[in-house]
Amino acid sequence: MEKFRTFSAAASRRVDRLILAVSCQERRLIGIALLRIIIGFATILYCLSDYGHRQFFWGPHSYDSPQAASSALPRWGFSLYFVSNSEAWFELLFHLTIVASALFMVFGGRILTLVQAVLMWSLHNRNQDILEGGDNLAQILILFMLLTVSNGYFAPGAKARRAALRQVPGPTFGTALHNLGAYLIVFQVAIVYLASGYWKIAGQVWQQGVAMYYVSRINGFAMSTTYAHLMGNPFIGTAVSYVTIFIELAFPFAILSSKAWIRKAQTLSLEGLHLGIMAFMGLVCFGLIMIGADCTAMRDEDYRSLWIQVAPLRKRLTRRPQRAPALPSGSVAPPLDLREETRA
Amino acid sequence: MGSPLVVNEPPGGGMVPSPSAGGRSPVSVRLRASVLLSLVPVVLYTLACLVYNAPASPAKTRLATPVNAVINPYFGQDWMLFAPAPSTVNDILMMDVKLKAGNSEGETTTIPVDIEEPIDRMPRSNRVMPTKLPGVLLALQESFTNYANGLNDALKAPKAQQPALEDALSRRYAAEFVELQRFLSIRAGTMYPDAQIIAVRATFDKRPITPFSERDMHPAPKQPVQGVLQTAWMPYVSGVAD
Repeated sequence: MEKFRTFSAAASRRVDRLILAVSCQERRLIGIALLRIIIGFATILYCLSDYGHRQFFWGPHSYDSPQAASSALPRWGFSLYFVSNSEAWFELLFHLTIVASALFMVFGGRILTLVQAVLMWSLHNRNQDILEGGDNLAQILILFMLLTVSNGYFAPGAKARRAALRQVPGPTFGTALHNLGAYLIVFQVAIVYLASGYWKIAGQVWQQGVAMYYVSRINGFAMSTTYAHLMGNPFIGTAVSYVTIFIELAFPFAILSSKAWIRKAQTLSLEGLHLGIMAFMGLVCFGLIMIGADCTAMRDEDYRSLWIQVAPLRKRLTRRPQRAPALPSGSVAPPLDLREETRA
Repeated sequence: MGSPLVVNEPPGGGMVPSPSAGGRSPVSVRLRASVLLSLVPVVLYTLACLVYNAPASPAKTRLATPVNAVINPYFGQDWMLFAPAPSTVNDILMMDVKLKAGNSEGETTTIPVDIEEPIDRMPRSNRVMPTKLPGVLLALQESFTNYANGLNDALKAPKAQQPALEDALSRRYAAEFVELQRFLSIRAGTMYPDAQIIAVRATFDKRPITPFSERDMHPAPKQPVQGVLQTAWMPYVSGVAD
């Protein structure tokens, strides 16, 4: 009986420790705020890149008729575009999506996240032909973002909001919800890279290092002949294929690493990979959303230390070149080091 | 203005209070219950997502029903992204049109025109905000390649079963056929604005990408076009938004 009591007390302490770990301080506030900005921006881009063709893609007289599109919806799938087939309803919803995305991008917060989620899902479900992996990921991540404080940074009143969060005494359920949402976001992103890396490493074409050669020659993704030419080089093509697999498979391990430089290097490598995808494959929305997702891989303290590390660079970039004051004729210019001191 | 990233943490603000050893727990019963309850769906999603994205296995097959119940429809996902093998062929969509030109009485059938290549090139004209039009062709190619495969399978079945199989296939792909008909109608209307268009027809082909080992050959080896499917004539649909 005594043994059971000791065991039960120890178990209870462990559970408490777990609860305290998730409910005392909001984590990954910066990464989630960046993700919010990028999802909002990517949705605006999604709408504006085909603004002139909006009727063709999503309108009531689209080639993908509302009847056909609604029949393609899965069970429990929804789209507000199917509520009415009127032009006015379509225009209202479409423009509302752009406005809501802009508001979500700037302000964030749970209500705007919900509005953004409903409108984004509606737009995506209206025409599923043109969806890609990035849209799929955004659909999932925005649901998890409903649990989080997405406006803890880079939003009006963010500083006050953070101060208010810190003033709440002791562990809270709201904090726990945020952290569980943050966990789900990071876990989902890790799954994306783990699965993607696994399938690549299992493929013969990737093993042979020629996958990027074929990808660069698929008409729909061939944005640059120089890129296609480079991928035809056996060394460059193989290196890019292998590096892609390596950084994808490394992601789950990097986020679990206790070393900040590994997390930072991993995130920066992935951002580089996605910038390349945007520039050379034309997958701009996909690349953007993946960059947003990668931002959640770094902890808040990683961002802070990175911000401090790049401070000299920032200073150098923001410092304006000053002209030396005009000297009266006949006087001698002070030596250079003194001028620097005077300026300071 | 201060840095947006530097936060002045209050003393011990980031610290997690440790459960007092032996004393009263800092976690209230209500908080404990609510956090533990919220952990249930999180753990379920974690497990379901891992299994859903795992490669096929007997274990995955046995777990498919509960896993799909958690994942679908809101968390459905596929992260194969150009893997295990990127496509080694380029798709071609040819369209021919039956029309009456000007005041002529008789019908004319145009020669098949590749409508895929110009659409695939369109994103290059605006690299910052590329159009999603190639995505439509990608979706059509995928659907009709699957349809063609299904049709080939149906033709291998015993003769008596073939009509029923073909009928089932047509019903399954009815929405895709309507989509294709409407899409081709817009393209035909744009290509022949002064003609009276009667019907449109699609031909799906594939051209292999020059293999890596032959990429530097001079002259470049010609890759033969492989036919996938030719549809029947489909009546022109007017009033589809461009």
